[in-house]
Amino acid sequence: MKVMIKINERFERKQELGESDSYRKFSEEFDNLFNAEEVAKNKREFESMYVSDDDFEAQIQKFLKSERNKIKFCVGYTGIGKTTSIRHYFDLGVSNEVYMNEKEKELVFPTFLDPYQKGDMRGFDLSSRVASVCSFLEKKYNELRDLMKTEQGKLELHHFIEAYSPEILEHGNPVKEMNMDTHEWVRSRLNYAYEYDPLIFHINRLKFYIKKKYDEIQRFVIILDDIETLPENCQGDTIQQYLQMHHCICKTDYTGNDHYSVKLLISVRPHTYRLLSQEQKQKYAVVPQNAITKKKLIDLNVFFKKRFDYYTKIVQRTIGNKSTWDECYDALMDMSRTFDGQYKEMIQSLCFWNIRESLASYSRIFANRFWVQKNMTKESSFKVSALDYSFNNINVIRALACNEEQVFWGDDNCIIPNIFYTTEQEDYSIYCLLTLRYFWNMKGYDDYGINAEKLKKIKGDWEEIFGMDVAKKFVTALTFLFQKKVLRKSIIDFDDVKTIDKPESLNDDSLLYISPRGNELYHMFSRDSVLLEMLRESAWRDYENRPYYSTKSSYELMRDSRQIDIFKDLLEYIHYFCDMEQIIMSSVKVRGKWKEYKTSFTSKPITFNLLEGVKNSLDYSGIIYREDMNSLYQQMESQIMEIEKRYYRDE
Amino acid sequence: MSRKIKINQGLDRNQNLGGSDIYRKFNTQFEHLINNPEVMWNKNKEVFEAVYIKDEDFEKQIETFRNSVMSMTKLCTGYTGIGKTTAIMHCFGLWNGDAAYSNIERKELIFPNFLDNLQAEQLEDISLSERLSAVCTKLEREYPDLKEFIVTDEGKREFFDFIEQHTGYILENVNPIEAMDMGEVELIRWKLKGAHTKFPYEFEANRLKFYIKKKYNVYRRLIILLDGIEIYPEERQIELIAKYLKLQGCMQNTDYPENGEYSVNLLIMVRPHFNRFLNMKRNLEAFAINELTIVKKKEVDLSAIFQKRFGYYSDQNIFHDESQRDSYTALMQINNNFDEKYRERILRLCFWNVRKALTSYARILANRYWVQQNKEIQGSFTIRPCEYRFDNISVFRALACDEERVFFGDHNTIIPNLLFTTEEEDLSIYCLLTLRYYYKKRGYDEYGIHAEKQIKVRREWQKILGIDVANKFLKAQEYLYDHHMIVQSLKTGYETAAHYGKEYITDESRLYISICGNELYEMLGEDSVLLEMFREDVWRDYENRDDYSKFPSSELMEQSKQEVIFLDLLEYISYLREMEEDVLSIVKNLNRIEEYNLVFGDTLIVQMLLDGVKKSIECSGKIDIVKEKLDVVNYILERTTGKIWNGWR
Repeated sequence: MKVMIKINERFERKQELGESDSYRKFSEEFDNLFNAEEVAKNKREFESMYVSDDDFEAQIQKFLKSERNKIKFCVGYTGIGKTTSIRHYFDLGVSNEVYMNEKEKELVFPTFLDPYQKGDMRGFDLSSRVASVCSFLEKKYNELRDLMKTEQGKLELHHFIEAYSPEILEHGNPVKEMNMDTHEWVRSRLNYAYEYDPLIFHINRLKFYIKKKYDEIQRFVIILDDIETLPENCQGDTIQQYLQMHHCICKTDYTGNDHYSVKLLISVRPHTYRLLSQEQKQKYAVVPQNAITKKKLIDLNVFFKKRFDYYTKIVQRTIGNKSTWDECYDALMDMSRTFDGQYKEMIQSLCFWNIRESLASYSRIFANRFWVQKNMTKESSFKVSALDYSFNNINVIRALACNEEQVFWGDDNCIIPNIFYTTEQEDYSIYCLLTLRYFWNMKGYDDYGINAEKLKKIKGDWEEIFGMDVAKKFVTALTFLFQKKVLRKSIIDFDDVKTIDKPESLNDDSLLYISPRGNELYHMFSRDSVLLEMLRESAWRDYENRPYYSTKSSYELMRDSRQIDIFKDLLEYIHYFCDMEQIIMSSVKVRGKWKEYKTSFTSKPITFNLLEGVKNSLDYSGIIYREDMNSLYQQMESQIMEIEKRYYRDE
Repeated sequence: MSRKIKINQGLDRNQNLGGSDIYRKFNTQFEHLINNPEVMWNKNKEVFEAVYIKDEDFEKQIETFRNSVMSMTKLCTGYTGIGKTTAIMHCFGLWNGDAAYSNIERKELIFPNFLDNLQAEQLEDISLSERLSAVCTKLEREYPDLKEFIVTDEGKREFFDFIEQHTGYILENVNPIEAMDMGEVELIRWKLKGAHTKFPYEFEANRLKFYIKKKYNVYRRLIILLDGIEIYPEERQIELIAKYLKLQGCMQNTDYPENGEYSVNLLIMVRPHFNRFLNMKRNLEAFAINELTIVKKKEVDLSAIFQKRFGYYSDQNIFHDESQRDSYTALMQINNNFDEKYRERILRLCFWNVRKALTSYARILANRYWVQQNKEIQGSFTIRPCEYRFDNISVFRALACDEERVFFGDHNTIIPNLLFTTEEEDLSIYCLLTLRYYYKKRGYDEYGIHAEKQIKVRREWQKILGIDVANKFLKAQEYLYDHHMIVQSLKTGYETAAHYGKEYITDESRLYISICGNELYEMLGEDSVLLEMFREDVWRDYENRDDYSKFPSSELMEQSKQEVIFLDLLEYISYLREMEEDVLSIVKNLNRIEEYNLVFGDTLIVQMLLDGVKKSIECSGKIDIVKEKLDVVNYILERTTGKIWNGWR
């Protein structure tokens, strides 16, 4: 009879927020260093804080330098720094207003929708925004304003509109117009044009101004950003308006200015891009292509250094004393340096490169009392000696995954979710592991899934290799991993707002890839044993005839100085995985599909990765030198080697 | 032949409000000590500060927040009624509710938004533009030079230029052809008017930024406070938070003086753990909210509240010193009579709400029937301590029954009847087991964040108990839900008056045991007080029972027949045991005892009731009289336990 238990089941949730002494002491400094807000107040400060991204900037440059009119989408995960890089590239600093780059002869018209209100969406009026560009030009070039005051200027504008959008001029009463003199007639027709279609009117006005000044303007750049702050049902329409505006602005004969071009850059998150692609496909059978993608992680060390310098050198008012800032900064750098700077990239990847979320994760680590400050009893004085803290891999990852809880719960909103799908009745863990490996092995790390393959093809491969029944289990694991955001939809896929992020959004044409978080988790298995230790605490396992320690959490065993028992249970767990993997491999062999399996799932058992991680932790803890443990490890290693030999090498 | 009756059936309702002598004599004093009307109705700094109880830890967190070098957004959490708003009002010096406040010393302009002060019709559409405009008007009043400046053409031109640099498009709500012929002054006025008509929010935000810019020497920080959003459903809360986050972003986007400081801090008060949901919401992803959340942790110290209030009234010489002291002594007496456990218990029964807990204190003090031992009312007041009983029986009876001599389990009492019975049906055991099911699942999950979906719970019950019994559990669950013992998880959205009712339990609902349900469940095993009360409000078959068993506790106590209460409770437990055994037999037949153990526990629920009754018997000194019956009940419970679980545990 099976005895199915989850280790975390008998624990109570604490749900507390951390409060290490270090955070209590340096709360002011940490709050500022990890402040998720934009801290720069002006262009100078903005530039001094900017961390460059050469790859992204090169992509934008290539887009701009092309002499043709062009539209590009710029896609990047939430909080990755798209807006910041765009602001830097176009020299906008923290401003949201129209900007003239005289050196480049570039007129930049940015739309950052961040302060927009949902209730005011009805008030979103592109014509006002275009009019503001006209006003900017009138202010910059007084002769334009002077010209428009004259009857001649109005007549010229009328002729210009007549050439490109004559229909908007035809909304007056023709009988009344017959009795008007020319000036009156022009004024009346312009008035009607404005009232009938203010957007087209202002676009024409803008084109007219640009034409008048085209010796000074070679490029008109329209930027649309922060579209996601709008209600979902308005996003597509807003983008559509900008696309139409671009089309309309391009439709002009600038005789004598062959170099003039109009560029539209729309910055969106991956899911918006997919939603938009779907909408475009449905409405116009056109799908945006070859987006500019923001791929590079910013170097958090550089980021922190810039912030530290800012707070200690640039800001006039000194907050706290300099030595406290130094101490705080040193603590931060110490943590970042541990494990050759791996943490900063690990945290960023787990946060989908979201800088705000990464900063929040740093906060959580430094504030963690349970894991990082060794669960020390709170006293009135602060203990901030390095000895009282432990920034090793166990504690940092536990702090990220468990907060102040002593066991892992793997909540969906945690940056380290539970990726082993188990229920009391079924265990899909091995399928989850192999699915993860499949995606890794087939495409490696594929930025935004540009090279992703259709789910239909993947299912077909799996059915061929495993047969229908086992393939179904892989699909269940895949769906689970998709819900955990370990697998994501490619940016060249489509999405529907009603089913976004839900399993229902998956179909045969879906294109999936392993996300930065999934990639990181996959590698964490072989780096050390921490992830496996945590997952063991939240998985349903059969504990029949198992020793007492196997149902204890890692924390309990560590507290009782029984770290060795954690490893014993992990080896037992790997043994269990080994058996499950072997069953799968045997069935593949029987089906005569071994070659295909090897191609899709690499040439060694997945349990090797798990054992490698445990081995690293055994080495690190020194427990590997204990004879009993060493022997257990050797047994497990031999078992896996034997499998490898039997299945892979003999082949 | 079954003859079902309820003990409280046919008894006249007293419905009187309490009137213990101590409360009659010190009515005014208690009213002030408990309700603190000066503070409630009189927004005055001195009064507020005199009774405010410091929370250094919280105040320090707020201090750090308002000292941030740059702009910052933080969440602030704490249980409902724990005193977040009061502490915030103290920290920011807000004595006038929603009115903006200038803290000149700290160079701060505070813009509070206490949404729980709003009327229902105002909740639908919170107009930020009007709120911003009110702050502008306040600044104009405080600094007449601002008003004088904006009246001039020069002022309007500067304001126009300011808008042009930040949100120039709002100025374009004018006919461009007419604009071409206008003079500059006229055009500026016209464009400003157009901006206000079409974009009032952007216009007012710019106006405020412009005024602050003009007063940089006075203000270095704008602090926006958002409180009281918990009255809204979850989705609406998210929308509101987004709205204020956008406002903060907008207010930051301004002209800074060269090398000067100016920051915008936003503090949002939310329920505990709500922050965990925010990062899952796509429409909030783009905003920067700083970890870690400011938490109001300090437990409410009712003694300190009374002490402060007493001190305040003594200083005010509002009352005669002696009577003041006597009332305070009486209040502290009940406060001290309850050890920590009871003080917290009342708070938990009141869902941590301090205001509700204070009202409960008043009800206890004013109770004549239970607390003043039903003493006849006379012209003079008797306030000798020996005439008052502040033990747990009288205190919880006072809370549950008011001046009634029996328990009626009214819907509005803080102690409802947990046992659901009708003349035709008795679901008591299902109620108890349902409560235990949720109690076991809850842990310290205060807001049911990890509660499972109803569809899963239902399937689990059907699997373990079979469809028919599971249906009875579901009915019991509905009853407990109606009495707020089981409530909707924060994850399924908040309950509002409009969305409360069992019809809102769907497959997608996540339910969990409320803090009050948890407390009552634990009380059942601690003594017999609750069971005694419930026994008076359940339909039971009294055929072949002696007449005394139908008497309420109060009557039996009056007749010095306390042992009859215990004997009847033991009888009642035997009866519930039979019902529990029926359920367990079904489970056993379905071969689901193992699963049952995991989710419902591996002991009889009636054992817990018996433990509670045993403790009360021991305290009463009646053990010898009821021993025989007690032994029998003990024996049959052990026998049932053995029969069901032998070999399973």
